[in-house]
Amino acid sequence: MTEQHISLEIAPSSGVPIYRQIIEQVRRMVASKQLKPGAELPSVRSVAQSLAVNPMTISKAYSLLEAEGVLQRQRGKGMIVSSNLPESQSEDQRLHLLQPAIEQIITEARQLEIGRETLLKEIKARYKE
Amino acid sequence: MQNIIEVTQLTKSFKGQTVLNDISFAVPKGSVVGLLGSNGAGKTTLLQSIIGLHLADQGKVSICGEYVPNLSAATKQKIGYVSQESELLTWMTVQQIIDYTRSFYTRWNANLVNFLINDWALNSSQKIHKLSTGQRQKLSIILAIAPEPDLLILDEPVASLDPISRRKFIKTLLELNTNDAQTVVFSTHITSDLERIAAEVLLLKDGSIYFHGDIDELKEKVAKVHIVANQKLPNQLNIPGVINLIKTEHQASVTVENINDVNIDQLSEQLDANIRIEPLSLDDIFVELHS
Repeated sequence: MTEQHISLEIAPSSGVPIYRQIIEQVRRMVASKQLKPGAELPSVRSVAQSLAVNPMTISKAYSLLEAEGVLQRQRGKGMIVSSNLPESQSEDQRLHLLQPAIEQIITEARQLEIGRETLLKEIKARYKE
Repeated sequence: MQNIIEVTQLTKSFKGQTVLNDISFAVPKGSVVGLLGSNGAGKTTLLQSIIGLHLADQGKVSICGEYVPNLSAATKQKIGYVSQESELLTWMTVQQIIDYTRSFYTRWNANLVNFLINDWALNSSQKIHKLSTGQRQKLSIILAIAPEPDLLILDEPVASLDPISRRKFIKTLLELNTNDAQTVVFSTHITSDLERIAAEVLLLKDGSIYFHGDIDELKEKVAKVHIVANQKLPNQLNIPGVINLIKTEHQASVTVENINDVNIDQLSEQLDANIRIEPLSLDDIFVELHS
């Protein structure tokens, strides 16, 4: 399979280290099947160059994703999305990825003094089946 | 990995005022190190002491295993340095200073020079005194990297560059670092650049090293804990490693050295409070350390 173009975004001035931002994005893309098993990831060098970040940062992110079982290192080639993804397909796992965003919205709702029921109602209304 | 720079117990004072106080660290070959510190923290003095522009009062500095200032000509050829203020001969044209500088070096990457002159939109027939501060800074950088030094020392290289040039400069540095394993040590105030290109940060505070290590590690350790309690907070919060604390009756924001040392669940129960952890950017960390 040919190398896929994936669009990663980083915010260097966010408190979250850049490698973590990348890990989370790749995890989400894999969970949502935007990156399918067997898909090749762009090389460390090309990602580093297009984002203008230190290659060590990208390499760290890839290695940790490999250790997690999300990515596999192909000999002589780059990284591919693991063909036998562990349990990451379960809804629980995918829900876990949403945790930071949920925390964020709860915090902001509290700051605005928006109650639990109102928030849930709003989410239900927005998230139509 | 071999160390290209070794600094051991370096102390330097000017007119009785200590600028660097017992500084020790090593820079492995091929690394990119960002030097951070407030104005007057000793960044420039440290960089200048490394290359031998200042003699140490105490302690030692070595580059490629040779002690500063007794460096061999071969080692000197391996060092590129860009100072904070441009030290160009202003009566020359851009092309003249390129040719002049080239005559001092055995190694010179003319292709890189041509590429960068073009890419950074410098006019080679222009007189240097007609160039803007930013243009002079660009030229100084080009002259420093043209001999393909193994070690590049940059004192606030991007201070006068516009965002586009800064990004181009970062890309060039990263390419040199990836392709030729060049070691880069640079000081800066632009922390977002530092977060992009440096893997390592050396944080100077009042002439001493406050932190030296992985940027990610620093960002993962230092964090702000926001506490909103349902009842009055006690006078003393039992939190280890507090850097900074702002507290009102029911709320507190506490910056801690290492968030992993804080037991959030326990704290939340103890204080009957909602606790939120805010990760901090390098910029925030820097401000917190100095407030």
